[in-house]
Amino acid sequence: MRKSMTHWLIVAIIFGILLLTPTFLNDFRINLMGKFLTYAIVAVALDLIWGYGGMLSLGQGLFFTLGAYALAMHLKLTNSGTSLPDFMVWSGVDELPRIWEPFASAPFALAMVVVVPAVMAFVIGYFIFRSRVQGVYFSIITQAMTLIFSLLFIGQQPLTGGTNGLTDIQQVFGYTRADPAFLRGMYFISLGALFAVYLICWWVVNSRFGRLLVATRDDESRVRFLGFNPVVVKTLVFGLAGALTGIAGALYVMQDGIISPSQMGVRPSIEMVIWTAVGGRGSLLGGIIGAISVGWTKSLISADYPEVWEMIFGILFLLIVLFMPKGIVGTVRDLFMRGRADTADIEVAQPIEQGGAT
Amino acid sequence: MSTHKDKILAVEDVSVSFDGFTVLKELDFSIEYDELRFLIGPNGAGKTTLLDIITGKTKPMTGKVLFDGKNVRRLSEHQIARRGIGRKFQTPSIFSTLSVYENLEQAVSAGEPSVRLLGRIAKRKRDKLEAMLETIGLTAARDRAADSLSHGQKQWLEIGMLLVQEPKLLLLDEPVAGMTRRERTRTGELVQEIAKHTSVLVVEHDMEFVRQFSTTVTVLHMGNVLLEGTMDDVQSNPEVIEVYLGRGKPRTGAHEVEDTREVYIGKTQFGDTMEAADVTSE
Repeated sequence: MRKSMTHWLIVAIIFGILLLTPTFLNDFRINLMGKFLTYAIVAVALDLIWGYGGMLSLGQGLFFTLGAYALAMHLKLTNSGTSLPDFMVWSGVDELPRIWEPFASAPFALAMVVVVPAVMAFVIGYFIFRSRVQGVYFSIITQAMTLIFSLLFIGQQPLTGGTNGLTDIQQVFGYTRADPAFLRGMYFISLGALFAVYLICWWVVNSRFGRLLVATRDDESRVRFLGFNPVVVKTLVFGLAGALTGIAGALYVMQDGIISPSQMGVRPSIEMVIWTAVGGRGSLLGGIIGAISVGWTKSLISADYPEVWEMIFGILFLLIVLFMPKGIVGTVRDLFMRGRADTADIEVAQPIEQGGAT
Repeated sequence: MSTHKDKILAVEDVSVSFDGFTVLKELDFSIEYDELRFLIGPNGAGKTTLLDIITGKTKPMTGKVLFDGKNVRRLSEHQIARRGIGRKFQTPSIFSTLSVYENLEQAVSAGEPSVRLLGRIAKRKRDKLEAMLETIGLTAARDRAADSLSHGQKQWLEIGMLLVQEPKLLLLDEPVAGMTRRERTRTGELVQEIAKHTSVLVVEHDMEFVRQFSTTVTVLHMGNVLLEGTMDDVQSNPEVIEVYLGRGKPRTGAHEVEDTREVYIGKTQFGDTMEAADVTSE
C-alpha cells in the first residue's frame, strides 16, 4: 500500500512540474519541450520492450517516422489545397498517387498513425521472435530494418519526398503551426498523451502479462515449458511499443512541421536508446526523465557550442553509462534505499544486470 | 502385446543423432498411468535427450511420441506443456527477478490468453497458489526474489511451479542435485506422494535416492534401454555393472568417448554419489 502511494506521489510531482513548466518558458522553449514530451513517449515505450522485455531495439526510429509520415501525408494534402503537394510537382508527378488518396481523410490518417507502425512492428517482431533470434542479433536486425526503410523512402522521391521528406507543413487541422497559442496547446496535448502512455505501460508491466514479459526476459525456455508461447508475448509488446512510438511521431510532426528519412537513420534510433538508458532502464518514469533531460542538455550545449556538442554529448553519455549504469532513476533509488533499507522500489522490475544486449 | 490404452507415454522407435553422432537408437520406452519410474544410465546414455524428445525441444528423426494416446511429435514445446507434461530442469530454472509468489502465479496462469493476463487472477487459481506455497514450504518467503532462495528452495519452487499446473506426466531431471540429505528425503516423499495421482519420470544419478524411492528402474545405455526392473535386478545385472564401470571395449565408433570415460563409484556397488555431468545436456 505504502509502496504504491509513494509511486503515485512521485508521478503526481513529475506531471505537476510538467504541467506548470510552460508558465516559465518562452514560446521557443515551449515548442522544444513539446517535442521532448513526444521523445518521452518513445523512451517509455522503449523501456517497456528493453527494460522489461530485454529486447534492445535499435530501430524505434522506424516506427516514430512511420507515425509521423502517416499524419504528415494528410497535412501535406490539406496544406496544398487543390493542387498537388510541392515535392510531387518538382518530381514531375501530375496525378496524386493511389497510396496518397485515402490520406485526404483525417480519420483515416489518424488511424494509420497507429496502425502502420503497429502492424510493421508486429510483422517484423513476429518473424524475428519466431526464429528465436535474441540479444545482439535482435538489435542488429532492427537497426538494419530502419536503415533499409530510410533508403527505401529516399529512393521513392515522387511518393515520399525523398531525402528532404515532407517539409513546410504550415497548417495543422486548421491552425497555424507557428502560432504560439497552437504550440502551447500542442504541449498540453503531448503531455496528456504522455500521461496516457505512461498509464497504459504502467498497467501492462504491473499485470500478470507484464510479469510474464519479465519472466520471458529471465528464462525464455522456462516460459515455454510452462505452456506459454513467448513469441506471442514478445510480438504483442513489440507491436504495442511500435504503436505508441508512432503516436509520438505524429505529435512530433505537428510541432516540427518536417519529417524526413534521416529520422529513420541509425543515429536517431540510438539516441532513443540513450534517453531510456540515461533515465534508467526498468523504470518507466526513468524514460520520461531521461528523454527530457537529454533533450534539454542537448539543446543547451548545441546552442552555445554547435561544433562540439556531439562530442560533449557522447562524453556525457559514456560517463553516465560507466558511473550510473542504472541511469538517473536507478541511482537515485539506490541512494534512497541505502538510507532506509526496508522501503520498497518505485516500480516492480529491477533493471537487468546482464540480460538483453548492451 | 499391450495397447497404448494403459500408457501415459509411449516412445516408439525413436532415433536421434546430432551431426552423425547417434544419441538415441530406435528407442522404445513407455510409462504407465500413475507410475513412478526412475531413469538411470551413464553419461551420454541419452537421458536428457529423451526428455528433450518427450517435451518437444528436440524433434526425433524417426518414430512416434505418444502422450495420452496421441502423437505429439509435431507439437512445439508450449503446446506439449499445455497438454500436461511438466518438466523440471537439472539446474533450477525459475524466474530470478520475480518473487516466489510471482513465479507460481505465472505457472498457474499458463495457457490463459494475453488479454486475460492483463486482468486479475481468478480466485480459484489464487487459492491453488496459496496452497502450493504451503506444500513447498515457501509461504514465509513468498515476497522474496526467487534469486535469493537457497539451492534446495529453488528446486522446490520449480517443482511447485510444475505441480500447481497439475500435469499428467511430470519429468524430473535430477531433482535432488545439490540438496542436503534432509531435503532429499523430503523431496523423495513428495515425489512418491505426487506419483499417487500423476505419472512421474525421474532422471537421477543419486543411487541411494533411487534405491530408496524407486519401484521400477530403466537403465539407458547408448541410446537404448539396457534393462528395466527393480533396483535389485539392476544392481545384480553384470551388463549394467560393466557399463557403469566403463571399461568395456568400444562398440561403435561414435561412442568411444563415453566408453573410455571414468565413472566414479562410491563405497558400495552403486555408491551414493556418481559424479555426473550428462554430456548430452544443455
